[in-house]
Amino acid sequence: MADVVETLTRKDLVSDQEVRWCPGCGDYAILAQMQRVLPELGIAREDMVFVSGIGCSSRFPYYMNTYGLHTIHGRAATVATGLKVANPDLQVWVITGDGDSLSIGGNHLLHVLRRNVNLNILLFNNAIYGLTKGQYSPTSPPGTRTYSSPMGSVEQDFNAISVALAAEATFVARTVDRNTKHMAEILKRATEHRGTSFVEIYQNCNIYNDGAWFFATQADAKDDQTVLLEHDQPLIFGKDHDKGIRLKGLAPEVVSLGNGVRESDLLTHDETLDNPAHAYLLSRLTHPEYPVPLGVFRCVDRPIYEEQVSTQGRQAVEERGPGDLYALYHAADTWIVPEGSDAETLQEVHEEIPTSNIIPDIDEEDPRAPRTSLQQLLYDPISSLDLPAPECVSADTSVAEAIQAMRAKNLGCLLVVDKRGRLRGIFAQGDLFEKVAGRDLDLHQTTVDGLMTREPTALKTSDPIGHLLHLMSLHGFRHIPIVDPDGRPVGLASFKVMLQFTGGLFANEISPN
Amino acid sequence: MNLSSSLHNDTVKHVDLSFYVEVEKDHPVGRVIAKMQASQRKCALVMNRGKLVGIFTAHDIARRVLGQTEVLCQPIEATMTPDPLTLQSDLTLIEAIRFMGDNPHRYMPVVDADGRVLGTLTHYAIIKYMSDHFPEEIYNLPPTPDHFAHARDGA
Repeated sequence: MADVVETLTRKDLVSDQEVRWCPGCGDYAILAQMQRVLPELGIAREDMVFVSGIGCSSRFPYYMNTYGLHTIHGRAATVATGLKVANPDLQVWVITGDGDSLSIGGNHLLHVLRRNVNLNILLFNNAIYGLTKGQYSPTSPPGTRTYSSPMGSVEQDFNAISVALAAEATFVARTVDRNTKHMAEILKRATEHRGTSFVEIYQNCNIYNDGAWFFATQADAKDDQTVLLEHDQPLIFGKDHDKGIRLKGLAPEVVSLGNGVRESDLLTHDETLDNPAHAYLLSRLTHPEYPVPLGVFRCVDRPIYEEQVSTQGRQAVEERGPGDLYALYHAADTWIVPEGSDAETLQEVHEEIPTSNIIPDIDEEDPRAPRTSLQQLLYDPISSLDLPAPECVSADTSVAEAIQAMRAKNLGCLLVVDKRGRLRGIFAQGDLFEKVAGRDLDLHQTTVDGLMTREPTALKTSDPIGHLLHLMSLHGFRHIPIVDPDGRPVGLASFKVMLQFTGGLFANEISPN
Repeated sequence: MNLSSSLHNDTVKHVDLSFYVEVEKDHPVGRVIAKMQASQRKCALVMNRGKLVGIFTAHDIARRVLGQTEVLCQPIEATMTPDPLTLQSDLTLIEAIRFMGDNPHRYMPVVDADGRVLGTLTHYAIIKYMSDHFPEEIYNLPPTPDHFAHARDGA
């Protein structure tokens, strides 16, 4: 496989899909950089996944010849989190936009960042809703005139870098679509970072918001209006490298070098500071008052989400054994949501069954109140049933012997137990009907072990009778073993037992009608 | 939807009586069993010219067929229970429940006043009938009772 990875080329990453972005869209530049950079990273193509939400940028996965998921609006980060946790070996990229992840998916973005899942988020920021034809977005500055804000937006815009820092992101960077070299560097840095890498990419929408980032891209202006962040270097910018950022108290100021101002007076960038205040201060350098920083604002080490999850999972298995997915899936508290559409029927039911019994509530239940037949049927413990003792055999009993035992005592089923008497299976007339009748089996050579139902559903004597009805009516179990806390059978519930119990409960009641 | 009232007023014909197959008395036992297995019905009503003449169930298979392969080729007439007890279709459910609780029969053919077979009353059908009265209380339960909520949650 190593050879295959080494020979991966850009062409290998180009899909056969027709690219549908508008001609001239900044997205093309980002796509090209991605296809250029990825082969250099030595990652097998089958290990790369691109996950996107909704929007122009979110068409990205179609155009990468890798695995991809075009998910739902704002939820790419969440789907990617699940993917990464399930398979930490994948290299996962989230492709999103300013609308997708700062508006619709704002919440999802915040939480993937603070969790520090080891994936890379590329936020294509064009400060407009392009796919829906030009409405102002969360990053459109106040006053932006669009089809949905013809007199100018009256909303304070988001600063994507500030948001990411506030959400405890461990890697925060900004680059711009038209600075291909810088973008390539940032993409590589993002890949190298262990944890969530958040990269804002200024991306030009040449149809609905053309020129939003021109201050950072125009050849004649960009050097004076942006500052490249380099770790451990003073913040110097300008076409002639003659300007810098200095702190005056907590306020940054633009100064010209010379005339007594030296490089050592300037703010020195440190992307590794644990305190995000420095990075946040840089994020507030905005056009046109300041040069806008491009580069890595923050890059710190913190434990990775999926690694901690895996560790806990392994630890839990070591301490408590493998889990039971079925039980886990149904382990949450449940409650009943009444159907409002059938109020009349509900009223009738609730007259007869107090709500407090649907969800037992100790505070509301009067233990001295006489129990109705219905309450007994639904909620009384199984121990109040007159259950026959089960007939138990071992798993190596031959089918012939089992049949003989069932015939001799006229039984519908036998319980199969291990040497310590714990329930291991159930062998019933139904098994004879389905698996033995009409088949050419040597009944003396065949054991019940191969034909029984293994690990059958069992209940305890303290469980409510209603649960027997639940299992019987939903799953059709004719026989349900009742076991003690150690799993040893103490009784056998059956359809017939339920009919006898019901008959006794209701036979003498005077019919309301 | 009062269960007590329903049990006293509804009759066996209000229950699902479809859990059976019909066969003819000269059908070989093996063929009858195959038909029962294919339709997952553990009860066969044995007919002769439209008239009920016998019943053959999974219980009979366990007691009289297994281990005796020669039986499979014989007509069902020889192995069935002839002239089975039947329930009248206007019997109330509480009466039917009492009857089936006191007797060993799991499957009871149901006939109308003219003796026409309407179907077979089974234990399962009665259990299902009762549970249908309380879908919230019976069907909307967690799969294990240990996980029952102790308080309402959410709005």
